[in-house]
Amino acid sequence: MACNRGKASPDQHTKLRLFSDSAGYCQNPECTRLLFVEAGGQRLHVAEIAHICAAEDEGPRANKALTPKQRGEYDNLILLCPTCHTKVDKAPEAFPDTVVRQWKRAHVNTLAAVFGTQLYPSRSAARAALLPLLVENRAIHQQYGPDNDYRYNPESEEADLWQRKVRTRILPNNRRILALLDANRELLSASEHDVVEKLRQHIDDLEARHIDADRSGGGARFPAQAQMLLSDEGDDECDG
Amino acid sequence: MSVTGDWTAKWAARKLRASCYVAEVRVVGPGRLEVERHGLTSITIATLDVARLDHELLQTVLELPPEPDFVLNLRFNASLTAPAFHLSLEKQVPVGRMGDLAGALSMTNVREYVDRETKFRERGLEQHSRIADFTRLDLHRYRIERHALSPLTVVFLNDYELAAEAIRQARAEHGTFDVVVASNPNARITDSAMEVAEQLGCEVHKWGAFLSRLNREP
Repeated sequence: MACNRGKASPDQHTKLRLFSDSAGYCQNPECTRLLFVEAGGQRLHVAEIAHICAAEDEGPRANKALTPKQRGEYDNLILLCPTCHTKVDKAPEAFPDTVVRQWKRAHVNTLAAVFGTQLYPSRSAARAALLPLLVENRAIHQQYGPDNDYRYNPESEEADLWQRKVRTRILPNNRRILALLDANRELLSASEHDVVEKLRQHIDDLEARHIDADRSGGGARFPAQAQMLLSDEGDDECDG
Repeated sequence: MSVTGDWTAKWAARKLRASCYVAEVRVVGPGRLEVERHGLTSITIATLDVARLDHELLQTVLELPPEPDFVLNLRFNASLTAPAFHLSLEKQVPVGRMGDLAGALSMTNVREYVDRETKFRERGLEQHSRIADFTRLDLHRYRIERHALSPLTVVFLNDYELAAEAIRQARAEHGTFDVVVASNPNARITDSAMEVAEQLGCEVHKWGAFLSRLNREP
């Protein structure tokens, strides 16, 4: 996975993380070509690291506000096959940064849905697994979230801290929460299914805001009832 | 329902009694509280619940005895008209919400209270080398005089989501302006907001980009 873009080149850890995220497949959801092939008795990889916003100021999807270092960081990179890499860089208008970021996010979510989930024998067991994730997210939101008073200071560094917490803790927790709830759907009551769908839309909108840098506005708030999913109060409505 | 009805005073009294700065609170009339503070002078609070506080209403509230040191409007996202804002400055009686009053309670002179948002904003303007002077026109709008560049009328909005509606609402409330600044450090400026701004002939910037914008013409 060679990339020679000076300071905009990813370091070794970033390369490993990109490959890990891709699970060996092109991250274009309409491609998903296997990036490891055999040819002439040799094992090769055809993976290419693509910059979401170009490494150079004049490149495809360039964002001059990014430093060279930022251009080489994980958030600005995606792993593609050679054909998809060529397509997105030769036709950047057809593949803006929001679309490419959405590809990456969808790919990661797909893998998370397959791996890292567990079936639980009871509501209480599932609740015991779910609760720490909900509690952590709520605590982070209360301590660092945008409702805090730092919102009046336009130069507040707490905003950067909040955004880091969203990307590194809240969003990954959200994926685990959804994976757990989807895998254990049979434990949910009818009304809880509705809450899960509201939660899913909230999570999707949150990821669009914080990962895809989506600027379309709106976005569903966290449904308060989600804090009580799989709790004892829901037992009388359980279908199982 | 009277905007200075007793419920606002009683509600505010209950909240204020929880403050560590407050020794005692008494309802002394419709929409009027007398607050005794630990180690500081007693103050009078006028309470109300209105979506839009204009000059006429504020004058009525200020003229009702006893004279207030602070006007507490309990309504979320209430607006304060420009004439009301200037009346508040002229009479040196701050208008704000519970969070503002909580911040004012520890002050020796409550009438000198300035909200945090204004403090942060004006400190940034005062320290900018290109700004010769600035005048506050109303709660959100400033006229900024610049060295060797044309003056700008700027509206500061603290919305978390700065959407088209916020731009149009600002135009309806404040009239014309050159620039909208999204002062919330977490703000997202939507594409529709940018489109409306372009239609209205104004610019939209986040704080950092606004500070750069001050150094040049459009």
